[in-house]
Formats: sequence, C-alpha cells, structure tokens
Amino acid sequence: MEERKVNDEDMKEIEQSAIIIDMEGEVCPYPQIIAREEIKKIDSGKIVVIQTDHVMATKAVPQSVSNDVSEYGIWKSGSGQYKIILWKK
Amino acid sequence: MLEYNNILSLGATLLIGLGFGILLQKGRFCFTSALRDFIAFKDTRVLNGVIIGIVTMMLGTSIAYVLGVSSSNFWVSNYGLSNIIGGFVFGIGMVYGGGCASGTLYRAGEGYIHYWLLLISACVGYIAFAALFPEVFLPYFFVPLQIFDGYSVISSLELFSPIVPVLLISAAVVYLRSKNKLVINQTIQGLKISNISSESLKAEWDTKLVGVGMGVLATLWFVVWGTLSVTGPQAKWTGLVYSEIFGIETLQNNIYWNSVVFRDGIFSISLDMILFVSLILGAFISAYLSGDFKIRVIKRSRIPNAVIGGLVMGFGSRMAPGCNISNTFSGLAFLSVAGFITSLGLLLGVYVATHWMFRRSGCAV
Repeated sequence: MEERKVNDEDMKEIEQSAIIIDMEGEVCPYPQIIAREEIKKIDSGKIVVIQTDHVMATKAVPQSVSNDVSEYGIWKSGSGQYKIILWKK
Repeated sequence: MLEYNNILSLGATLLIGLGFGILLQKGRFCFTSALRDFIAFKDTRVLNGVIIGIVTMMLGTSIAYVLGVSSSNFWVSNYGLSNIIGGFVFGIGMVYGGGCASGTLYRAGEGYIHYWLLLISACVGYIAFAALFPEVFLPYFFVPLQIFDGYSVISSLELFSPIVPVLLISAAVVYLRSKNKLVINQTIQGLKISNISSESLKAEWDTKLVGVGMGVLATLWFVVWGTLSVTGPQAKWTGLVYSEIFGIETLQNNIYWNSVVFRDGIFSISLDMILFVSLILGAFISAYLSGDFKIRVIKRSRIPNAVIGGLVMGFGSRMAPGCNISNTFSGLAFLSVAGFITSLGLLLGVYVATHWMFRRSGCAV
C-alpha cells in the first residue's frame, strides 16, 4: 500500500467517480469499520473516499484496509477536515 | 493556593506539559489505537512507538535514579486480582468510548466535544466511585483482592537499575539487525534540518520519534515531580471542583478523597494538576498550528459511547488503580508488578471490546 499525493484538482477529479462516504462527527473505530465494509463491497480498481473530521482516521483508516487497497491518499482542508482516498486492488 | 518549590519547577511543569500535548497530538499517540488496531488489523505502527517510549522512559528514569532522584518518585501500586479487574473494566471503557486517558486529553485539545464529554463522564465516575468506596469498594474489593505490596524491578535494583534497559535495548538491536528491520538511519534522516519544512511539521510525526520524545519528557517529569499519570491529577481536579460546589467537608469526610486522591490531606492545586492542564493546551496549540483544530460536534448516536465509556473508564481507573499512562507507560517502564497485571487486564478488556465492535467485519488477531 503506497501513499499517493493528492492536491485540490486531483480531489475534484477523484470525487467524480468515487463512492463518497460521509463520516463527519464519527471517532475511532467507526471510520475503520465502515471503510472495511465499503471496500469489501466494491469492484477492483474502484475508489472509496471517506470524508472525516477525525484526525486519527487519516492514519487508522488506510491501515485498516491495507490488504485490499493498492494506494491511498490524504487530502487536508487545513481546518480540521480530511478526505481519505482508497484505491481498491 | 498553589504548592510548588519555586518558579523553576512550575516553569518546567508547564513546558513538559506543553511538550506532552504537542507530541501526543503530532504522533497521534493513542494507546487505544495501538492495542485495538493490532487486534483488528495487525497494525503495529502506534504500538511500536508506545514500546519505544516505555523503554526510553525505563532508561531515563533508571539513570536519573542512579544520579540521585528519590525512590519516592516511583509510584508503585500494591497489587492483586484487583488490578486485572480494574484494567479489564478500563480497557472495555476505552475501546467503547474511543480513547484512553491520554488520548482523551489531547483530543479534547483538538476540539472534540466527544472527548470533553468522555472526560467529564469519567470525572462523574470518580465522584460515584468515591461515594461507594468506604462501604463497597474498600471492604469488598480492595481488602480481599489487593493483597501484595507493590514491587518494581527498577526501583529495587537501585544502582544497578540501568542494566535492565541497556540489556533490553541491546537485545532489541541484535534481534532487529538479524531480521534486517533496524531502520535507525531512515528515522534519523527524517530529523535532518534540511528535511524539516513547515509542511513536514504540520503533517503527522513519526511515531517512533514521538515515542523517544515521550520517554525523555516522562524522565524529566520523574525528576521534577514523580511518576507520569493522567487520571490521578484528573481525579484531583474533580475533587477540587466538586468541593467548590458542595463544600470542602465532602472531601474531608470521605476516606477516598482525603487519603487516596489527596494523599497528604492537602486539598490544593499541585504540579501534576498543572501538567494535566498544560497538556491539553499543548495539544490545542499543536492542532491549531497544524490545521487539525476544529470544534467537532458529537453525533447524537455516539453520545452513549462518550458517556458510558467515560463512566466505565472512571470506575476502571479507580479500581485498578491507575490508567494506561500510570500502568502501561510508567508501570511497564518501572517493571512494576502492578503495571504488568493492570496492563494484562487492560489488554483483555481491549480484546473483548474490539471483537465485539468489529463483530461484523472481523478481527485479525
């Protein structure tokens, strides 16, 4: 599982085709639980984006799906919001 | 009423507290995550940092001890079955609530309403526990279960105590080298001034380096005050606020408040309570400067996690006694029996609660 750098423009493009899950307000371990369930549901090559404001999730979510994901990215708003992009293997 | 030897120790306390807050926030240093994510996904990144922190603290405090720090600075609890039960209860609470004692504090500084609620619920738990202590917990829990006197390998080895961490570190180096897993060069590379930018400072810091920093700060705190603990000073704050509302007699007339929480019977603000507050402040500053601060409103459906989790943690940390910091961090660093037993109970609690929470998606361990 490699980290991919994601800027604002990449993010716009990714969001057009990705499955977006809003996990704002949730803390550990719920973002990990949902990420694992969602990544199992989708086909290979598809993208899941987890929207969260939980800082720890940026670390814990990619790790929780490391077996099923080829790459991941973290987009930071700069004001406590994050998007975690997961590319399914 | 503030008790301190001089302005120097107050200044040191503030700086150490700010440092802890910054390190916890930047390292995402969360014991719940360290244990839970190992059980659920075999993720060892946070766990490695915690272990490095413990060994660093062991080395630091044993050297400080040889250099003349008093043996009374070791907090070594008496032990028995009570520790395993208290640790178990605390472990359940921290997985359900979503944070350990230290994790709750730094995330309170990051602006989470969830963790403020968890913190306050734990304090309510302390008040309930203190009320039940004389009639219930003392005669039926501590007297029959907490039967052995505390023992710490580090404090009892005295002058020879640094030998233990030196042997442990050497063994770890030999083992990791044989497995080609020693990545010191890479880690030190990250510390080079040329590699440090405002971007890398704002991003997450390496958990292993943060672990070393935690061990160093815990050693400084050992010199200034004694054993690093979170729920101890948290209980003291609870007691002082409680007595402001209901009168000082409530503390004076209860054996738990007047002889366990405030051990010397002096009800005033002590340095460890200052450390507690400056830790939250450090986490706030760090989160604010990194773009991680936000007032995060709790989801209505998660209020039970914070309230029940906090109450359970409050009871667990009084029963053990102590939290993940005083037992798993300081306790293991001192090689204290109580630390090991409580940590074992805590691990069992985390194991059971993690399996329950991940019952649909499954666990790795």
